[in-house]
Amino acid sequence: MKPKGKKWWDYLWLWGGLGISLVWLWMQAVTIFPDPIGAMPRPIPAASEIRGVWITNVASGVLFSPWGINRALRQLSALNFNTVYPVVWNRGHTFYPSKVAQKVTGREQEPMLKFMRWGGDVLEEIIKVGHRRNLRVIPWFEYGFMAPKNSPLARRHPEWISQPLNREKKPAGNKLEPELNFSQVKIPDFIRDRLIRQQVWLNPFHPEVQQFILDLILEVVRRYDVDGIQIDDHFGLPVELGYDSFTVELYRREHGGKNPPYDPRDEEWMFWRSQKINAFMQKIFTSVKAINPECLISLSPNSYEFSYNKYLQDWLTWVNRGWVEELLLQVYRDDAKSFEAELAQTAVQIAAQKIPVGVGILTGTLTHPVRVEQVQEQVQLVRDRQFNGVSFFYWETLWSYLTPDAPGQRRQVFKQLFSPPKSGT
Amino acid sequence: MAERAKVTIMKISLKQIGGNFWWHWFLGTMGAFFLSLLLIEVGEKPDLGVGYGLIGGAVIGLAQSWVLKEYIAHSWRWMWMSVIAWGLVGGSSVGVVGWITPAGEAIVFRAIYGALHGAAFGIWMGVAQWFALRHNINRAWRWPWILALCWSVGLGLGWTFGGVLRLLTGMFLGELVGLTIAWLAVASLTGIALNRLLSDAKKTAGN
Repeated sequence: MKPKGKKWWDYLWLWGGLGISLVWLWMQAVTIFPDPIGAMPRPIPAASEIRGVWITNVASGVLFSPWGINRALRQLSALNFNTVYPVVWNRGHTFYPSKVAQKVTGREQEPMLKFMRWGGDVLEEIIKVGHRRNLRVIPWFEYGFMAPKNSPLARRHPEWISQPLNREKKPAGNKLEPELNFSQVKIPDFIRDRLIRQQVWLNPFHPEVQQFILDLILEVVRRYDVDGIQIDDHFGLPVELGYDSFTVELYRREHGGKNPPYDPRDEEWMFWRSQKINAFMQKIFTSVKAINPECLISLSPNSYEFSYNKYLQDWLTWVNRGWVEELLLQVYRDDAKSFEAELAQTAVQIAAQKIPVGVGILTGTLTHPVRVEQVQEQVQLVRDRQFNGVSFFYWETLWSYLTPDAPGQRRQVFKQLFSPPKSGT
Repeated sequence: MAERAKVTIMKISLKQIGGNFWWHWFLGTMGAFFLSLLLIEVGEKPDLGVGYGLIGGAVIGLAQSWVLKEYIAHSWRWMWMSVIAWGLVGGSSVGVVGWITPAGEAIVFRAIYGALHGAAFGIWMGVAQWFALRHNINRAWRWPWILALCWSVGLGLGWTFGGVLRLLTGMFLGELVGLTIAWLAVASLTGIALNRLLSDAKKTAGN
């Protein structure tokens, strides 16, 4: 039985408390939920220094949680970041509702994203919130020609998959790339094969593959108010591949009936394949510019030598021909010496004379946490060498519970890194 | 005197104390802690101030006073005292205990510092909550000392495990697991203690 005859102060305790709590919760809520939408100016371009971050779906909840985008972009803007590279193409799925993907893969967008966002459009939200907060939004076609073996895309189009000479031998993985898929964790092969996605590569020489990738890119450029598009190190082909029947036939047609060499590293054979990718890159550039001349073409490759020798990605030619307008070199190294050595490479120096060149810095992965002091040091090295900025891989490891340091402490460091210099100092 | 007698009569008519109380208390406290993580980002002492103390105190205090409303009169005072006390510690050198972690990595230091820090915070919070308990239980002055013991054990354990996990994984997430361990210990121990105190109060009131 409840006590009867409450005094007026009982009600004061109760309702006063609830009132003040609600005010506090509201004050918190405005930082979690969207700001009221208002007419805001266009984002300021990354004039002096690129301060970017990649936003991915792997080992990250930012795209999936209802308040993730707002929270992330608010924090980035507050700390003077100016660019985000949100993933739009990963593991054979798009991260926006895509008619092109629907037609080819049978799925409009990544199923988990569709479920968590109730079929909404996360890219649209990123652009809207990002521009309101003066952030450039450059959608990132992360997976390029790569796709999981069991993805609907690969299953529906086996004729699109490129093959090695010896089909038992899988192409070597990219050791320079930060792993988000636990592939550095030592587990037996038979478990690994079942747990971890095996990747295949779409044949970049196949006209239908080219049309599909081009359609995806142009769909984004046409439909969204993007500041650019970005492709990365997966926009190429592992050097071991290219022995599928389509490519062999194409090679024979252009070489008087001669088969491709058995050695995948044969100089002419590598050159021939890279030239085909170059031609496709040119097509992307001209097609994008025909739709929106202001749309920036950004590239985020590995070092040139590695890119060409392992992935037939001749990005220096792309830079020289003007098909790439911003380059973010991935330099995911822990020790300062090898980090500096990557920055000193000739191809990077040549690119830096032609277009803005920034450096991709690793802030950590699930299996490889990075201390904030290392990030600080690498940003300084980049600035000392007069590059045009930095971009961090990836959002979740900028400041979160997945980092070695307390999130608040890391934010302080980024705040200092990107604070405008005080006048008079 | 008349007010006090009235409260004693109310106590007798309130719900029987028992095993259910512990479960409600434990689940309420842990649920509130997990809910608070949506509003509060765990960090080191300087990262969290008065505001976060008020939010944490409100979320935990609200859940606990909701559980207590069946067992004590004027249970909303519990929430208020929690809000005020956590807000004040948030602004002090103690920090928002329950959501902060020590900066050092030495495990022995963490165990000792956690135990001492927990005890100091427990006394402080216990005194605040005493205002809500004093008319509901006998010898309510015991509560600050009990709470000091509970937080001493909880924070000592939590910060120690948190430090070990952070070292092993290289991630701050380890600290979050450590704090969860601290809250598990505090919720369990305070549930047992309150169950006992409220049972004693009922027996006395029944005599």
